[in-house]
Amino acid sequence: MNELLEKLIPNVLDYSERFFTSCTQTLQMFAIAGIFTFLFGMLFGVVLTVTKRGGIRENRVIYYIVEIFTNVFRSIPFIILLIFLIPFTRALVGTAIGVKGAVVPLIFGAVPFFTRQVETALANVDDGKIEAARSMGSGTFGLIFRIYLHEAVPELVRVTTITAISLIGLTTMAGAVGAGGIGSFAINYGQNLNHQDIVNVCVVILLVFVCVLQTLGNFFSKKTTNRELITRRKEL
Amino acid sequence: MIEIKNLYKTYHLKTGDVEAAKNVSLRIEDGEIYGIIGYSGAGKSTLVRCINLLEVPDAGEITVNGVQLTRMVNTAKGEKLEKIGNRQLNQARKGIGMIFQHFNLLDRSTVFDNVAYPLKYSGKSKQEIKKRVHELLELVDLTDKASVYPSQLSGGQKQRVAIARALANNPGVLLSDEATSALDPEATEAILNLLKKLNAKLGLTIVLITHEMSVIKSICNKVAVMENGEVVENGDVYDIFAHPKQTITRRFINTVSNLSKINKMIAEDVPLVRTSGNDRLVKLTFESESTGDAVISEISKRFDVRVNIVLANVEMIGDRPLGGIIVILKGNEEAIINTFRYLEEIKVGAEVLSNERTA
Repeated sequence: MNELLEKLIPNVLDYSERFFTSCTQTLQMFAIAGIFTFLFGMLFGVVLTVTKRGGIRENRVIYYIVEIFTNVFRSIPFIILLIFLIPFTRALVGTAIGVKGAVVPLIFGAVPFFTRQVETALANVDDGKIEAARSMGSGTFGLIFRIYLHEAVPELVRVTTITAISLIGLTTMAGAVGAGGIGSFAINYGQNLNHQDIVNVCVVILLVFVCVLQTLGNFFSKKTTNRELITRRKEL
Repeated sequence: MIEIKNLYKTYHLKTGDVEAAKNVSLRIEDGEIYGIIGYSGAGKSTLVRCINLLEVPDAGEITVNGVQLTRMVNTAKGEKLEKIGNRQLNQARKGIGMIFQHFNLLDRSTVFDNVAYPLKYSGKSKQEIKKRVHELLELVDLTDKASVYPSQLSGGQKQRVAIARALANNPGVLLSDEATSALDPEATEAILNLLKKLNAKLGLTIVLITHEMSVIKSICNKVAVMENGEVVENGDVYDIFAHPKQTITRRFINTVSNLSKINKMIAEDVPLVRTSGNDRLVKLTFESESTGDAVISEISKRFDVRVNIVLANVEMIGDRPLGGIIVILKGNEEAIINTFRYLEEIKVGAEVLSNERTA
């Protein structure tokens, strides 16, 4: 086994420690940025839905602030955003390099994308359901949590999966500001030192990661759709 | 009781202003089944949505179950609409159930959870909620479907779930927005029977909007006819059927009356309805008191007129019969005038249909 690996991916084994560190860094960036992206994106998506024209709490000012923020950061290419945000990142977390320094631009890169996706998912919730809930005396929070978010769960799972996958793409680019991770490992040790096997392994690792996310996403999206006969309330 | 006074609502659309309600005043007593009929765009949906303030009117006073939802106050700038506070409004809405054309159930919740929706977060224990939901499902005859999702139900069943949900907090009023328009005839009848049963059993006041006169005919006691944002005619359903005043009301009645065939026959000039000389094509209307009287033989005996029956029909409006016969009266001028006088005396409605053809 070892001999086989030695033959196939000699350079990966030579740099195995650095390779594992890179994987950890990618996972760290993904997890930290992912959590913040999820929270902020969900929040902004809900805010856009609620404050839009004809929304349940129409508010022009708040709507346009979030709308403009989303549009501006969505139109800046991520690699530029990385450099652009360096001073801000340094002021916020004390450094602009490493995992810590990469998380801030990652969040700025992914939140607008996710916000739009959440907004679309919530827009697909039938207005009739909102109207029915209002007629039953539900207030703004009731409408958000018990109708919008509740009815959109399968769709939200789907868009979360899409965002997670694109976030992986962004983490590899964050290597450009010295964040480390699989992306910079592939460039610095694979491409620059001309070790094709390192590049190949990085591709495979990322591929597996994306596949796992997609499979999980599909599974939960299907599971939460609840259209088939489920007799979990047998006892009633 | 629901009281609407001088209600106005205008929608400002890009294509121009649409007056959905123009000085509408209605009074709906407790326990009534009040139908509001009109073509699409007549403003009936807006009107019913103003009753629970899903739509906020521009002006007007709305009082439901003794709670004043909107009122007009005098300010320096003239009269202004004042709306009840959000918290009180949400409280008031618990006393006003509503059902919709497309049911609006939560797809991701079971029938049980859908019905439990208005009960949750209102300080009730799980046990209480469970008990109440089962009572409600029993009321709409769906106890065996508690654990099922809406997608597995038929349209009629979905509407029954929606009715159970609307009744969860024991409302005194149920608003029905075209609740049977998306259903097949059989399901429509079942839902209407259920509404009738709930009205009788719970004393529920029902405000029902529809574009089908058959719905009004089968369950309503009172009806308001709407056209271009205005209530053009309203009153007791039987009276409206017996003495419609507006053209639009007649048109609606014709949609459910077998006698409306006559209009087609006249238009096609069928020999059966051709008249000549002093002949009159007449529609006779018999209300419950006079139905069954041998009026036809009486008039041909008393006066020198012959009576050809073209069409005849008896409608049941609620539980009262409304008879209609279309006849051709043949005889001399004097006899016909006497006949009309007699008909008026015995309170049989007589309407001459194609006078212009008598030439």
